[in-house]
Amino acid sequence: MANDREVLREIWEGRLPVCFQLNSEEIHSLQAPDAYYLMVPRLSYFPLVTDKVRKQFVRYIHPDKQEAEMWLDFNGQPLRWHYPIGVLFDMYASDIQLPWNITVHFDKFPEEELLHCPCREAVESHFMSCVKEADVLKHRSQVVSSMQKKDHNQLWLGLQNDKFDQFWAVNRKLMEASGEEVFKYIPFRCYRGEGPFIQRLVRPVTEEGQRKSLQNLIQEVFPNETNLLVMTHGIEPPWETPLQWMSEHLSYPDNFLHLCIQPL
Amino acid sequence: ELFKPWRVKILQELKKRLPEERSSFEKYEKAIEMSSWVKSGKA
Repeated sequence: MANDREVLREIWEGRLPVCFQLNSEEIHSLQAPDAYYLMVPRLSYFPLVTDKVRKQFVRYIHPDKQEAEMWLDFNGQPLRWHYPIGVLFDMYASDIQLPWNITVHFDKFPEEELLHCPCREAVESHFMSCVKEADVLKHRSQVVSSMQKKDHNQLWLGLQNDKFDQFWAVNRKLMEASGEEVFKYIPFRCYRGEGPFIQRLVRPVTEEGQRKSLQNLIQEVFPNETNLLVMTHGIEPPWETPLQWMSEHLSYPDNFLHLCIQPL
Repeated sequence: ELFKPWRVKILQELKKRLPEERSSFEKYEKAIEMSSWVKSGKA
C-alpha cells in the first residue's frame, strides 16, 4: 500500500522551470514577443499548463494561424503531449540546461510524429485510459470498474488542479493490493531514444514468492544488456528498490512507472 | 522500510532536484495557480 507520504509528496511537488519561445519563423509582428517563463509540474501534461503560453504568443503570429493547434519542440524534436512532462524532460535530460528551452509552434504541425490534441478532454481521455490499463495489469480491472464517475472526476481534477489530497483520496484505492500482498503485474513503460516505449508483463514477485527489484525488471526487459542507467522523476532509483514499492510510490498519476533508459 | 538504504537514497535524491529552484527560478510564475477568492456585495 502506498503509505509513504513523505515520498509521495516529494514526487508530487516535482517542478521544472521552462522558458517558452515562439518559433522565430512564425513571428508576424514588428516586435518579437518576450519569452514566457513558467514553473511546470513534472506530473502534469503540457496541454494542461500552457493556456497562458498560447495567449501570450497568439497575438504575434499570422492571423490565419491564430486558431491553429499549438505544438512544442525541444532541439527540433516535437514533444509528445500525451507523455507526462517529467518523462519528456528525463528523456532529453542529458541535453537540457535549465531553464528548459522549448520552442512554440502554430504552423507545420508534424502529423507523422504527434497526435492531435484538440482540447483538454483529449488529455483526460488519454489519462483515464492509462489508469484503466494499469488497473487491468494490477487488479484485473476490478478497482476502476468498481469506482463511480465522481471518483474518476476527482482523480482527474486532482491532477489538473494540482491538488495532492484530492487526487490521493481516490488513487490510494488503485494502489492497494486488494487481498493479495502484491499487484498481479507491474504497470511500467520503458523509454529509449525516439522509438515507441517498451512494455512487458512483469510480476512483482518470483515464482518462489521472493519480491523482485528494479534490477530484476531491467534484466527481464533487456536480457542481453548491461551498463544501463534508469531514470525516473529526475533521479536514478537504486537497483535493489523493490518493484512493488516502486509501483506504489514512484508511478505517475496515470498509475504507470515511466522509466527512461540510457546507456551508462 | 523507512530506514532501508534504497528508500533513504531515493528521498535524498528527490529533495536534491533543482537545487537552484529557490534562488534563480523562484520568481517563475506557477503554471497551475488555484487561488480561492471571495465575492462581497451589498443587498
